[in-house]
Amino acid sequence: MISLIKRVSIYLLLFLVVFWTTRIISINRNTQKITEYRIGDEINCGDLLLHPIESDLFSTTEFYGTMVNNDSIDDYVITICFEITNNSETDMYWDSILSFIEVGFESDLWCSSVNPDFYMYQNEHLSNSLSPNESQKIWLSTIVSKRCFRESTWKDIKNVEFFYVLHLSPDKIVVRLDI
Amino acid sequence: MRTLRFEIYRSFHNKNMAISLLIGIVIVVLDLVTFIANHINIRASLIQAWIGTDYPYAYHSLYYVVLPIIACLPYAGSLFSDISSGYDKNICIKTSRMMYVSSKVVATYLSAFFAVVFPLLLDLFIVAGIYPNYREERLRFLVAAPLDCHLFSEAYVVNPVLYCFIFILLAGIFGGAIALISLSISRITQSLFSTITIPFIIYIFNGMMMGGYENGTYAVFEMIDPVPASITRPYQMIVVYFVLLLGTTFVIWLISRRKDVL
Repeated sequence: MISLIKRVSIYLLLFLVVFWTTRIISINRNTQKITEYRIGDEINCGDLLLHPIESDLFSTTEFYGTMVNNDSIDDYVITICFEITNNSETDMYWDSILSFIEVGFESDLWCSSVNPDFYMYQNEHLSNSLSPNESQKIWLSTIVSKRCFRESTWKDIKNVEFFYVLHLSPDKIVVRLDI
Repeated sequence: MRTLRFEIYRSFHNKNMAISLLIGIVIVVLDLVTFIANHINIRASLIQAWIGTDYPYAYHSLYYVVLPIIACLPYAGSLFSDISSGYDKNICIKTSRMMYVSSKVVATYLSAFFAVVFPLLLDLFIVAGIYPNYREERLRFLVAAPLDCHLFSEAYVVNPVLYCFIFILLAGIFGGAIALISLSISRITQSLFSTITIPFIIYIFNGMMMGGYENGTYAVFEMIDPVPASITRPYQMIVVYFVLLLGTTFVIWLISRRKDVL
């Protein structure tokens, strides 16, 4: 009787393992869709037309000049310039535009949201909205801190693939930076 | 070899192993239930739900804090029990003292490794059938994804499950070494309770005093935690592990040598 119970338990356990393994395989079938753009492409978002013009990786000394903070003297500033055109028939407030596109920068092993202080430092808005059919260039930047990287990666930082993330869900939209 | 087989059998077939596994399994099940309850109709990934990287809930920290207890409970107190009952003298009639103690070391290490690794593997297996395995978006701030400066970050990029496996292995390896501390103090402790809990106290003290900073950490608690709270340099992990392993095995050898009594 006991050996029968043991045998049944073992068979049941095996069945559960096989069932769960097939379940693991089936739920991993779907992959996330990622749309990738490059510098120079045009991204049509309905009412907004985004045109990533250029991107770069500056040292903090180049970026800040003589006002660089000693704590970040070894860091870099990564930046992307978008030309944004309002394709709608009404004014679009900058708050709405930025909330739509301002996600952040990432690489395989690093990420950072856009730095709002840098935004104020680099951009000037003459009004709080973008008129219909009007375009304006804006710069989005953030610090790439040396502390986040190993020495070997840091020496070759300009060869790391960086992306600017425009949208996360349901589908991811990124712009590959050209540094 | 018979002694080794016998000790390994004893280490895996005792009530303390069952209790240790039960503690680990209860913690991972509670973590899983809490995660599922808080993520009904919310998209989540395996790397968010597995207890090792499930940092928002207390069960993650609880598991890594009680890891020495889970490791030491199965068999680490067996040398103390054998000495107290006089069983070691019995065994040493049939086999050499060194063979007996070596078998005890191997059995303790293996039982501790198993007791630590099994609940983590079980949790990973269950979670893998509920949530898909993909790299969670770093910019969502919902996951403790390692940066380039952290150990084994490339494994995370290749496959998050590989990252989980590496840290499960690390937890088992260090768990085994921690259990050997109990063996090394068996001759000087006065009770089974203190034999099993002193490694836990050393682990906590080590975590508090040698906690991480920018240039790395020597705290075992931070090294084996998959959520990278601080940077661990590879040489620091190797140094701590070998100091722990060699230190304990040296002490065990020292206390187990034949003594000539005049």
